Formats: sequence, structure tokens, C-alpha cells
Amino acid sequence: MSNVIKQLRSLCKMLCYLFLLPGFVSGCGGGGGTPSSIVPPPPSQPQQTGPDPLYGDQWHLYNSAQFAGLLVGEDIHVEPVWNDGIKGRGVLLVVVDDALEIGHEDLSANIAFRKSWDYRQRDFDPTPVSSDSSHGTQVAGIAAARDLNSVGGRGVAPGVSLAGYNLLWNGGINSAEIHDAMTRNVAEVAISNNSWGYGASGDGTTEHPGDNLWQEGVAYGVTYGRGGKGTIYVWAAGNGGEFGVDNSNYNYLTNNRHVIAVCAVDGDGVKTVYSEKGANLWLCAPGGYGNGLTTTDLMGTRGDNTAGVLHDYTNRNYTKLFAGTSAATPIVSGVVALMLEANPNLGWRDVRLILAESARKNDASDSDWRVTTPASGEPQYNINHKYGFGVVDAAAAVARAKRWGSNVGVQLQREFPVAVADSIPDGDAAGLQQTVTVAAANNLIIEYVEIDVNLVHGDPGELSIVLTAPSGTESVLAEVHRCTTFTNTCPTTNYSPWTFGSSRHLGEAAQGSWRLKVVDQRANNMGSLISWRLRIYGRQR
Amino acid sequence: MDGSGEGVGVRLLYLLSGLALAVVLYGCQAGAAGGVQGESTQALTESVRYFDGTRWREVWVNGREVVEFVQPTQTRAAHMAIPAATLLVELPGVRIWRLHSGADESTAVSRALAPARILSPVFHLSSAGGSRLALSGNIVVRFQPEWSAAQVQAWIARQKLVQVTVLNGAAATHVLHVGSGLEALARANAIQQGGEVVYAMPEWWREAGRR
Repeated sequence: MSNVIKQLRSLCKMLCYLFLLPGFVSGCGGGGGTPSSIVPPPPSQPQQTGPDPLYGDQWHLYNSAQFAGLLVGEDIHVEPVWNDGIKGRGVLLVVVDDALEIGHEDLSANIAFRKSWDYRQRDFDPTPVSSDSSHGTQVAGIAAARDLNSVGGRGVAPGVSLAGYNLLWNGGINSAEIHDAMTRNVAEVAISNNSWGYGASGDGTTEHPGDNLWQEGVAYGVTYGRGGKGTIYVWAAGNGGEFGVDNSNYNYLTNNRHVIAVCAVDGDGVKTVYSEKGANLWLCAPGGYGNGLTTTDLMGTRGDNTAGVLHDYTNRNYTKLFAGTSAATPIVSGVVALMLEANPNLGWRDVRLILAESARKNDASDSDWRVTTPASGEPQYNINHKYGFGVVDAAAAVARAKRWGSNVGVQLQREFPVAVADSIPDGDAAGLQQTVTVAAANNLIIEYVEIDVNLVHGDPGELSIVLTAPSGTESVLAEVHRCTTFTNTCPTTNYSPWTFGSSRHLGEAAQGSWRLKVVDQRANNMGSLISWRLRIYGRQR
Repeated sequence: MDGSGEGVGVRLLYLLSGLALAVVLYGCQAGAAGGVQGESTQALTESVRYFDGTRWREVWVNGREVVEFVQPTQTRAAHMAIPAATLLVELPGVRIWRLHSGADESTAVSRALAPARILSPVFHLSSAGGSRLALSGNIVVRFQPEWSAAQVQAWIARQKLVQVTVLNGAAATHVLHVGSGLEALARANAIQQGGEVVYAMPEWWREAGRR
């Protein structure tokens, strides 16, 4: 049966390709058009009602230590929000990924009509044609699986409107299409979920994007998205944290003030082995490792669930083995959907502030926890290079959203270049230190900090780079590490130039002396710091 | 080769004559004993330049691999293999080929330039390797904001380019089809150096991963 449907779908797509969107080059080669669609509207028959049979397995939603390795209460605390009737209704969430099975039995009721996009064949149906493109459907189920319909489990926002853009359909990304994926339907898209990244995760290298089209796209989205309130871009921080090799600060797409970088914790509230550290992290969510997350998989015999392997469900429309910062990210996206239903007037910066303020301090004994030194009248935040501001708490975030009176005003930017080239002492713990002073006239309440570093070194993996604010708060931007793709040394251009992001100075005052310290931890290769630039985003007091 | 300035455009146009394309595809093999993910690496020695919208950047040529962009509806059976090459990676819409050492270059290249096939050398952002990039055959052109739509269309027609799409929300930024991957790079560089438009850059395909 499913093969017949698949063949019919392929035939319809081919007809569309041949007759409605002729020519790979002229009609089918780019995004942004408004082609005809052959995808019918969602079925209008009443939805079934009844309990969700897999909900009991969804420990990230309600953790009763139902499996070994789980700790009671290490979940996102979402049931009180649902009990209050808030399920993400009226909010459009887009999953930018490899595909989305819009006809899935536990997603179809939430699919927004003609809001999805297929970059492969230029139509509104991003349903995958290959069995291995199941990732987007799994991501979508975490955020948006329908509740109380007698099938599957629940999404964090089970009433949200869902769409999918299959940007990654061919294993890569075209630079013009990434701009399209960040801006398509921008007036309506509230949340853009991105559980992907450039290149290989975990090799410890930095790679610039090649152009500014992505950056322009997200800047456009936060400015014009949602009627000017801004689209919320939620991004997976990366899975290369094992063995301390990779760090989310080495990822271009998660070091940007317009993006919420999401890390992953396991069912005991502790960082998963793969989740990357970074000064840029905003917050974490359950990502699973010892226990995977239950979510939707491609229906029938396709998808990752091969029935019986690793004790996965016999119902192959679902899997309980989904894990990664890919899985954590749609949890945060779902919570944002709940917040935006509770208070549709929130701007993109309001959402960030509320998530930071309401995050739960997890793994309390971890030695990296610090607190910020807030400017007068600002809240104090817990900060951790493994966890950002902590683990997302749906009930706290929605409660805060309901009573949030936005007064953030315009986001301002101040830049402070430092161009005093100097050599980095080889194997010397004192390192090279340079400072820049922010005068009172340039003072801001900080929302995000970016640091452009331009240095050359024989092996940049030998370096640690730390930014210290006037408050004393430190941002560890780079650590000693190996670049595994490159026979364990990093390309000499790894930080020449590179932009690091830091969320760790949120709510602090910018005024005073900032110090950048670069230490070559191993006596071996040599190098020099050529220049750096401190860029502070925030608001006036 | 550090192709800079005008010389790059001239050289790349020359490369399109066929035999010269082989120079790009094969010429740096001696210096590129891999330079790709998962291999022991030796620095790549061939590079080309392109304008990224704000500044000129350098990318490094992997002389051993070629990316083929396949039409979405094309079946494998309908597709002809590249002689003297091994299929390394097959993705929906994209195939990555590894060229055999000492292959018959002219045959491989002539087949590579067969109609309806968009081929590109593989590039890396670092001379040490890393993610694969390839040229999609399109270029991205941002026009002067004061140009009228008619002026833009007239310019596109004069250039004999085919409009693919216009970027959402980005002022007067068009995606235009050129042809083969390398031809797109050469045209983007030539247009950029001509100074008529705000910028012109090749559209890159780049490996990305799910997390």
C-alpha cells in the first residue's frame, strides 16, 4: 500500500516537474517562486481523540524515572502549560532539515497548508523520497506531534502549526537556498528550527560560510519576521563534544546574536557526552543518549526504525532512539511556540531574555557554574560553558512570558577594534594579554558579545583564548584541542579570522576594561595575534 | 596557483576550452594527496579566488574529486558514468566522483562536459581540506538599488544569463544560471571585476550535516 502511494507521489511530482515547473535551470533551479501545487489540503475529517500510547516513554516531557538512568524531575516541566490550555496554537514553526513527512499520522493534523517547501522539486511537499531522510520528521515530532489522537506520543507544542523546508535534501546546501530557507514565509514564520550544521561535526575546525547570504537571511528574519517582531532562529549547538575535541564556538552558524544555540542533557540532567561546550550556548534541553527520545519516524518500512533493532518499537512509524542536539533543539522550539501563544507580542529579543531568565540550573555540582554580575536592575543569571543558562523550563518560561512587558527598545551595537600585532609566547601560561576599554559614553546593558579574532599559528589547536569582562566574568572562547580531520593538528588559518560569540555577559554593563588572553599551552608551534575586535550588542540603560 | 584579480578570470575562461579544464581537475594531483575528510592530508596547492559579497576569498582545488549535480528525477540507469572515475558518494541529486590516477583526461573531461550535466571540481576552504564545496552553475548578483526592474532584466538579457530566482527580502539580488560550475566562477569574477553591479559571486553547494 505504501509503495503505491509512494509511486503515485513520485509520478505527481514528476508531472509537476515536467509541466508546471519546466526546466531544471530556469524554473526548478531556485527558490522563492510561487509555483502551482498538487498537494491537497490536509484531511478535514475529525481527528481521533484518546490518549497518546507512547507518551509514557517521553521522559523529556515527564520524567518519572520510567527507565534506568533517568532521574525524577529531569524534564522540561511542560504539563502545567498544557493543563492551562496552551499548546502552541496559532504559531507557525518551520523545521529546516532534510525532509518532512507531512502525511505522517501524528503530524498531519498540525501541518500548515502550503507553508512547506520542497527544494528538490519546487513544490509544497517536502516528504522524503529516500528512506534515509528521516531526520526532519523525527525533529518535527519532538516539537509538534499532535496530542490526544490515539497514536504515537506528543510534541512539546502539540497544537502548533508545522511546516518543513527540506534544505538538506541533497546532503548539502546551496548558498542561495539557505537564504531562502531563512526568509521564506517570513511574515508568518515564528520559529525556524535548525538541527543541522556545516560540514562534519566533531573535527574541531572552524569553517567560514563562504558568503554572507545566511547572515543576511537571519538578519532579515529578525527584523521583518512575524510582522516585525522577529522570527526566532533555534539552532543545534553540535555533537562533537566527545573527547573534548569540538566546541560550539567553532561553528559559524551558532555564533551569531540572532541564533539561540541549544546544547543537550541526558535523562539525569547532566551534559550528554556529545554535546559541545561553548561560551555561545544559550540553553540546553534533553537530547538523550543513555535513553533516546520517543518521536515520529517515517511511516511504514522507511525511516530509522528497523523494528526490533536496539529494542525499538514494533510500530515503525515511531522511534525511541532519537538523540543529539538535533533532538534538544526542537524541544526549545516547542517551548518558544508555547510562549508565543501565551504572549504573541514578544519580540525575538524578549524570547531570548525570557529563556535565559527562566532556565533551570541543572547539574548543580558542576564546577563551571558561575553567576553574572548584573547591571543595576537587571536579573542575575547562572552561566556554564556546558549548559549556557541551564535547561529549558516550559512552565517557568510561559509564566514569565505571560507577564512580560517588553521594554528592550532598539538593539544597539558598539565596536572596539584592537590592532596591535604581537607574538604569542610559546608554551607560556602567562600568554599574551591585550585590553580595550569601553568608556561610559558607550555603556550598554549587554545582550550578546561577538569577538573577531585574527591570528596565525602553526597549530591553533594549542591555544586557549579567554575574554574577561570588566565584571570579571570569563568567556572561554577556544580550548586546547585536536582537529581530527587534519591528522590532529588544526589548520593554521583556524582563527584567521574567526568570530566567537558569547552569551555569558547577558545583563552586565559594558563599561570598563575588557581583556583578551591568548595562551599557547604547548611549547611547539609559534604564532602571532594580528588583531581582534570586541563587538557588543545591547540596550541603553 | 593563487589566481588573483584579472588573471583568474582569464585563466578560468581558458580552462573552459576543455583541455584546460583537465588542468584544474588533474593538474594539482601531485600536490593534493587527498586533502579531504577522513584522509591523511597533504596541503592542497591549487587555489582560485572569488568575491563573497564583501571581499575576495580563496578556495582550494581538490584535483581528485568532481561533483556532479543530477536532475532530481533522473534515474541512475539513465545516467552515464564518468570514465576513469569511481563513484565515491551518492546523494539524492549529487554524486561525488573520485578520478583515477593517470586516467585518460581528455575523455573524462569531454564526457564531463556532456549536455544536461552540471559538473564542478571539489573545493575546500582550507589548503588542508575539510568540507567539500562545489559550484552549482549559478551565480548570485546584487544590482544597484536604484536600477529599475527593466534595467535589471535588460542587463540579464545582455549577459545571456537565465534567471533562476530572486532572493526574498534582499534588495535586487538575483540568482542566475550560467552553465557548468567553473564557467559560473569565471562569469561571477568577470562581472564582479566589471564593476557594474554591487556584487557578483558564484553560488556554492556545500556539505552539511544533520545533528
